[in-house]
Amino acid sequence: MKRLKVQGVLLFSLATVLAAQDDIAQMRGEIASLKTSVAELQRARETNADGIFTLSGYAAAGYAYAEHTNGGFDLVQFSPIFQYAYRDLVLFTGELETKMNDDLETSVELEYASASIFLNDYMVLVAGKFLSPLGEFRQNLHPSWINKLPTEPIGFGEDGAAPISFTGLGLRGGLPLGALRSNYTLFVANAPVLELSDENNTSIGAIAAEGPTASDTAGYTVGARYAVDPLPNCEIGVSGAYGRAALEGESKRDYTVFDADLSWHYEGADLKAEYSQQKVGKLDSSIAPDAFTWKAWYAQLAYQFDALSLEPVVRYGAFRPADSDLDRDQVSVGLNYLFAPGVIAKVAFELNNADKAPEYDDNRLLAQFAFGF
Amino acid sequence: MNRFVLLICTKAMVAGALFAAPAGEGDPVNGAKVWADTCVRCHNVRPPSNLSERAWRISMQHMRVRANLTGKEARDTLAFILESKE
Repeated sequence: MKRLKVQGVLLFSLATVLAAQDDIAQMRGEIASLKTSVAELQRARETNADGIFTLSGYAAAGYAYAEHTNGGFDLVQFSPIFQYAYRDLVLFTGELETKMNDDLETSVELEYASASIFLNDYMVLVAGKFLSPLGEFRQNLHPSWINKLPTEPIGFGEDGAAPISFTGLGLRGGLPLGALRSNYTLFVANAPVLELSDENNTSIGAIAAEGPTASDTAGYTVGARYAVDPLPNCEIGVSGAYGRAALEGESKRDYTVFDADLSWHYEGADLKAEYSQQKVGKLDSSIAPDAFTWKAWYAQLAYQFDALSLEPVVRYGAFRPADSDLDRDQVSVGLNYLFAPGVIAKVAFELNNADKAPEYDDNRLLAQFAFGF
Repeated sequence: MNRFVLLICTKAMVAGALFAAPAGEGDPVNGAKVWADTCVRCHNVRPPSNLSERAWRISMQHMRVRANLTGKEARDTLAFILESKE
């Protein structure tokens, strides 16, 4: 009798456990179904809207110690990028560059703001202020989380040999040539602003090549870039522009740009090289009648050790502005640590050589923390 | 020059209307190839988990302009990224 009781209890327990297992399996199924529903709802919420808005961008903080100085934290930069897309038809993109200056003022500049209209698979019409499509550094490599050194190559920043941005209209896109990938950009924009030299009034000191807006512009610039990808992750580009620019109150004169660029990434190695040249033609009636040329070039090699998240970098750059007294060369050697693909710490030593311009001759130790979001 | 600007605009619009390709779902296999052969040339590659689906959709439009991808390459790459997220 006792045995029967025990068997009865065991059978009852077994039946209870089996029933509970069924309930658990049913609950698991319901949870999985709920998860699927939530994911579908989330996706529907994200993709059903005609318009999508996102905020991205990058930020950086830096330190510099130059010879004959005490050094200091020289950079605080925050560059938000606003993006709004309407279906697959239009994308508006605008970037503000906010920086804290050494006089405690904060500067805010409109880096670019443009609307891109997707006409078809091979043509995108771009209107507004856009980064210079001549060459590669300015349009693709200058953000601090992408640039592998704390500084831009000499001559590729403001008042350098490569234009920064243009205000106008452009057409660009990918252009497959059989199995070969290639791409193009065409644009027409306002001419850049010419500035007299600070030293004297008989030479042009700089081309302020940040696309101005103007209702009565001195002239226009027409330009193009064409690039081919002969290998995966390898691109060779050639760019040129021609326009008519003028000093304030003077007649127009020729303005030309030439640029050639190379970008190649193989395994962990990354090679970049670019040559850029801007030229302003002669004008006999001008107070600065001569022709003036700005040239700059650089080559950079980096190697990323994935296992260590380390990336050594070396870069040589040269800048030959219109005033030959300001000629300079630079070698930078750096080491980066990658916390994440978009989070990077950089340390670099910069050897500067400017025989006739002591203000550019000091060597510098630089450190920077940058991240893209 | 104004005439030149108008000419560019008009030709672009006409060409766009004539050759507009239907926007369809992308091919993730080709997208993986475009992803591997293009992105790392300029910047460190971000894993699909880095951004939301919404952010990837707009980011691929941005990168289509910046890297001069074709529309198909951009759609294929987006398909690859979204499939990798799942």
